[in-house]
Amino acid sequence: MKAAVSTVFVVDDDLAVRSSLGMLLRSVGLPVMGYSSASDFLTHYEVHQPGCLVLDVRMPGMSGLELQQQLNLKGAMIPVIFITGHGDVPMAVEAMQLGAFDFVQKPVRDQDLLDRIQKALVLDLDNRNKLQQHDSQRKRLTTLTPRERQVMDLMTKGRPNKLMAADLDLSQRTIEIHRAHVMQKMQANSLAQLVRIAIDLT
Amino acid sequence: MTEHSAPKVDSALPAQLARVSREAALTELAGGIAHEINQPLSAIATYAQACVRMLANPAPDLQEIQSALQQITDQALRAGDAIRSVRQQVGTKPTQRDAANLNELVADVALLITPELQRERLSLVLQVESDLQQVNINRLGVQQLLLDLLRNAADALVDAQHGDREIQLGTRHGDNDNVEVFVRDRGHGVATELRERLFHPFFSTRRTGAGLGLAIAKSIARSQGGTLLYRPNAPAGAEFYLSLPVYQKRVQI
Repeated sequence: MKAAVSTVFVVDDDLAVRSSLGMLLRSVGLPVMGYSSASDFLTHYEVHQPGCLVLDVRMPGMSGLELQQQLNLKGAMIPVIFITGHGDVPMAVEAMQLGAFDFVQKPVRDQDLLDRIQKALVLDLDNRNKLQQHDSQRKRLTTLTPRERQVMDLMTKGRPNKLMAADLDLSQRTIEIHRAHVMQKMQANSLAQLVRIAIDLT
Repeated sequence: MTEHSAPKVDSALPAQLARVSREAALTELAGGIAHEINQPLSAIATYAQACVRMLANPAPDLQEIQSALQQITDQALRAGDAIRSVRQQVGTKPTQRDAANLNELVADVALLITPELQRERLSLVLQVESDLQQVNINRLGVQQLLLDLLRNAADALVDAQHGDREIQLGTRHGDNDNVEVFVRDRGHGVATELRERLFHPFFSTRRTGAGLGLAIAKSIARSQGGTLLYRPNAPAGAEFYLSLPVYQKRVQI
């Protein structure tokens, strides 16, 4: 996996628009990659690359909207900021319905665009962290023994030890040991946290 | 003033005028022009904003700034080219003008538009001034202008009640010895605050309109030496009228 540096991917068929955006973003220290078409971007982009996408809504070939749909199908959650011409408001509305992060109108006010990009990058990292957390929790769950798994289910339903012991035909002491293992393996500090993890994993 | 509602069917009509609705073509054209000019403008704005940010750096990359400035020049020229090519396409060919009788022209236009209006269950009433002097116009241009005004009037009456589904087309004597041709409807008219911008390009009260119809009509009027004007119709609706100077025969000295 490549070093996870957040990159702004700019997709616009117009060379001047693309390179001016590249210059603007580099001037504030953002790493930028430019693509002249949606399909060019799709062939080069890997979903694990963090960043955000700045996309012209109206392009020859695959339109911005179609690209967004393709990304959705790939499960790529990279936030998309659409740039629209002045007559494209209905398209922008459609883009937002398809889950676009935001849109700005051409000509772009630099501060508006930069603010949105910053927000999009924060959201993207946040999403990726959550996903990673989710993955590691899922891994932790697989380390539980079948018995511990049973105990965890009952714990998260709020079943008291005494009743759990009766349910599973075990001593309360044994239940306590299983509980401790569950908390340790799932890296939960409190029952509330364990419940939270259980909800996240369902 | 004579009044009759069934125009007589006679003259052969130029093929170019046969029910051409230019609205769709105009909308596309306007969108295309807007895009061609907005792209370079957009690049210029972004390059300039990048320059400002780069110059704020204590050690600015002057080469990068120079290349941005060169790009700004190129893009400004590109926008200029786009405008020039539009001008060439739309053309500013001088139009041939001849002495013409507005009443005959009005009768032709009425004939042309009647089938369209009938489909919309609208009626057309002609009110022509019988004793009318000739004007010096390009007939095709003025016919097109009147057709556009009539179609606008028809659009304004889409939701009108039965009794109001009537458009008046006519001629009359105007101020300063001018001759006028008018189109009236009993629709909603034009709100006072919008009247000033009525003839501006890209101004439209319709959601789908390009806002070029009246701007073009106004420029056609000007090319005929006339003026296109608006006034509210009484008791309701809109009146657009074209005021034209009377044809003066050149006198040999």
